[in-house]
Amino acid sequence: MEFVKNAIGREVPTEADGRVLTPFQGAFADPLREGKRATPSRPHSHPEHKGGERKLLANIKEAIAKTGLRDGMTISFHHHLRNGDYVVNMVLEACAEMGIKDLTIAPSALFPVHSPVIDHIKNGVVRNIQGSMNGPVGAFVSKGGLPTTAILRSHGGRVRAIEDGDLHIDVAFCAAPCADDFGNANGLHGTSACGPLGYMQIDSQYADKFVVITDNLVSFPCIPIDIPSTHVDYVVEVDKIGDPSQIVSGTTRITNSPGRLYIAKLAAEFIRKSPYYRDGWGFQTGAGGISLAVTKFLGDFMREDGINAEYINGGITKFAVDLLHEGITKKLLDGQVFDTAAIASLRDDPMHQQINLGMYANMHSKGCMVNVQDVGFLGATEVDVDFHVNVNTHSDGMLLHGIGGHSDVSAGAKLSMMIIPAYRKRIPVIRESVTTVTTPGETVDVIVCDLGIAINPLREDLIEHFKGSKLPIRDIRDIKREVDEITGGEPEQPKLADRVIALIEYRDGTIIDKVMQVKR
Amino acid sequence: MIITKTAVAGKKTKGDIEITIRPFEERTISLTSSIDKLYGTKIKAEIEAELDRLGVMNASVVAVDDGALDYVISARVEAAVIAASDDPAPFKAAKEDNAIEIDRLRRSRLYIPGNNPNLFVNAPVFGADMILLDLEDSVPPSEKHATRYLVRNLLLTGRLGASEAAVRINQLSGPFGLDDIEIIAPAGPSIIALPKAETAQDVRDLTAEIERIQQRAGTQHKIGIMPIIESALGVVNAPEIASADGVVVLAFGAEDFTKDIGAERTRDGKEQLFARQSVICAAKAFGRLASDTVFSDFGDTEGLIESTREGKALGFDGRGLIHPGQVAPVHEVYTPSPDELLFAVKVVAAAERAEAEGSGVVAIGSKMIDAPIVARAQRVIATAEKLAIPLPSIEEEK
Repeated sequence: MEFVKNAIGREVPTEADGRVLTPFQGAFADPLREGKRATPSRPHSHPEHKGGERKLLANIKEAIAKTGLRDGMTISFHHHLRNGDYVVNMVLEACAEMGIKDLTIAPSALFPVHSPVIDHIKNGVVRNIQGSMNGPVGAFVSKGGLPTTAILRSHGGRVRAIEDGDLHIDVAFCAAPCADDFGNANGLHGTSACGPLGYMQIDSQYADKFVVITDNLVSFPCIPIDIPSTHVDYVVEVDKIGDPSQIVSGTTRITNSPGRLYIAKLAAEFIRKSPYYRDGWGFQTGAGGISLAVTKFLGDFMREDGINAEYINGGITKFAVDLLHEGITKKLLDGQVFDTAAIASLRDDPMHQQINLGMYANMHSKGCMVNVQDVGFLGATEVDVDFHVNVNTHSDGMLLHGIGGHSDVSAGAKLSMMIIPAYRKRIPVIRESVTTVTTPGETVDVIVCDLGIAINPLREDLIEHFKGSKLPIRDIRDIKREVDEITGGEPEQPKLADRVIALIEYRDGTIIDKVMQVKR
Repeated sequence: MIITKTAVAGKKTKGDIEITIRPFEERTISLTSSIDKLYGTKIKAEIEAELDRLGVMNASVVAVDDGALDYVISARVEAAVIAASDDPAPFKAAKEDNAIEIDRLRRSRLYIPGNNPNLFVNAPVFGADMILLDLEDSVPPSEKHATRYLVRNLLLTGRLGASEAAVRINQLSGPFGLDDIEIIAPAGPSIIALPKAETAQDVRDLTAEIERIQQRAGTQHKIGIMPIIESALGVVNAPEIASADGVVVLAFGAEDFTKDIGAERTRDGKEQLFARQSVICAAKAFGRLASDTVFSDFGDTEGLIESTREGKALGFDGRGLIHPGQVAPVHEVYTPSPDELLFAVKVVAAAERAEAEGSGVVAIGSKMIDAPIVARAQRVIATAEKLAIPLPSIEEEK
């Protein structure tokens, strides 16, 4: 492997598994902007009585055989069923039984429930992973388990890779909580209801073959139509596509840790005093404990100040739904939901709009939602004094988390905030240099932690705006010094082997960092 | 120090480290840690440094860590060594002069159990006026010894944010109180809280003991005393307790008091009314602050606010808290409202006007203002100034 230093000084490979790579050149340089979109192969269909085939097949194996899936191809999945998903494991199990080898899997995310992927890597069914991974699969890959180099992409970056032709999907397998035998599908109804199927809409447009797998076959036509039959080759009915208790939670709970609540309150107060907090603003929220608390505090402030948001974008929970019902926000934009209240709202509330992930965050589009939102608040495993953020690896080098929408939101929002504890146990979250760069510092505006708030020196306007503020605004290095004093200083460097096991692709398709194998 | 027996200190819980020490022919350390790869070397170095300080040469140390900070590690090692040895322990350096600031707000005294270092992590951000690290009721007898060193080391780090550092020791008449003072006093907390204070002699005993230990330790910072009145005898003797030298706050403890008089603790608290008023009167008679009892249902914010308002109306200056979530509502009650502040400013302005005009009569419009009202208005303004609340302007009403 040859390496080159990218714009933030990280050594990244110039080539991996035969693909030529472009080093990161700055968050908004976009060196790969020229070119044509990918085009999937041309489909054709006839009415059944004129020789068209029935889409409904007996089982997954029959579907795999009909799609022509063979060794070395790429298959994709969505993660709307999260840790309750059965479909990834069922499809890989079928591939293994059918003797198919060397697949690339391109899931929008993997969860602990997908740990059987490890066995399929060992037995040769899976050769590469592109997209996201976390937990046990990430740990296995970190230790050198994957024969190739994995590629991690953000939500927007995954869509970009598909549309730009970097990631060609041969067959997409779509878990569908509700579908008809002609392939129309949605995620709103049935015992496995998961909300929108926004992660899969791009796959349905660009994959050569698209298979809907459902445990809730309804009479034609399935309405509402989220995935249209025009994109669907085959439909398979199975007993269960997932474990409902692990798909969405019945109740989303806010953190009850006084320390975390303090940080959330501090972040909400900063937002309240920022120039973006005004009638008609829009912000992004997630389902993490701190993020939920920030949303709740913002709701309280807006109620008190008589301010309304125009929209809330993102992972939608009961907290956002309650604000919609109360009129504190007028609209919800929904890429994925996290609880049953959000699914009900998506079904019933006309101002609760689902969006696909390209619309959410693909920068190679004519305008994605993250690019217009005012405020986005995010978490991190590490941040550093250059404001670079790591959400992928732990300080010991283990690759344990996907990117999610992190680098997308951070680049798009007018005010992007990292909301973190200053240290966890005694491990500092604020570092001299992050273990892995997921999101470049130039797109990160503010870091909020229990020891204070640091504004990126690049944001002179914000620094000026907050001059004289009573909020504990401090220099990032000053905060870091205090963290070091408490924790006893920087931890030991991880012991790494001389092999790149994964690449962190920035949302524009360039390589922002690499992940090395961790020595056992 | 020579290790003669086996001893254990600390726990295997988050933010803590369990240290087991045994007599052995050489010094060995075996460490298991959830963060071994990142901090294994530093954890071992901290254990070594503490063993060096204590002069322990021959011992086997088994450490099980889950992210303990250095001051926790050294406290656990020290506690284990002292329990495992018959030798006197070398004295640990005291904190630099940390004189008590008598005249400060004490709207909240937040109890934090002294035996769980994970609960200390966020202490600086709770925003309580006073953090009361507890060695008494929340610590079981088997952990009393180790907890002293942990709390003492926390005090030495000074990591309690803007909160005043206080420690509740065990009763002096029991088996733990004297040892508590021995370890805690040299570390210079602002306040030592004395549970179940019943006579002025109890306070004098405590003060004498603190002085004796400070003299030996070569420290001399002033430590304020907060007697907790929580028995019938304490209530009856409240005036003499309040009058004792060194007392800064007189606190009331309803739970033990109602038990002591054989009453049941009720929601409206009639059974405590006399006691609470006795504590307030005694405190105010001798220029001390009065601090109300804790409100134990931390899920009931409305009840907390109601009970705090009632306490404030009786004359308390603050109260005890058992959960950080109680800090904000209690502070709100004890923070002057805009109306209160406006009235206070008017009263003080009228008093100043009267004085300038050489008139003995203070009046706002046709309403006469008595001297105690002026004094209370001055207190309200002083509170607002301590909290940096801007005083309302009354120019236009002149």
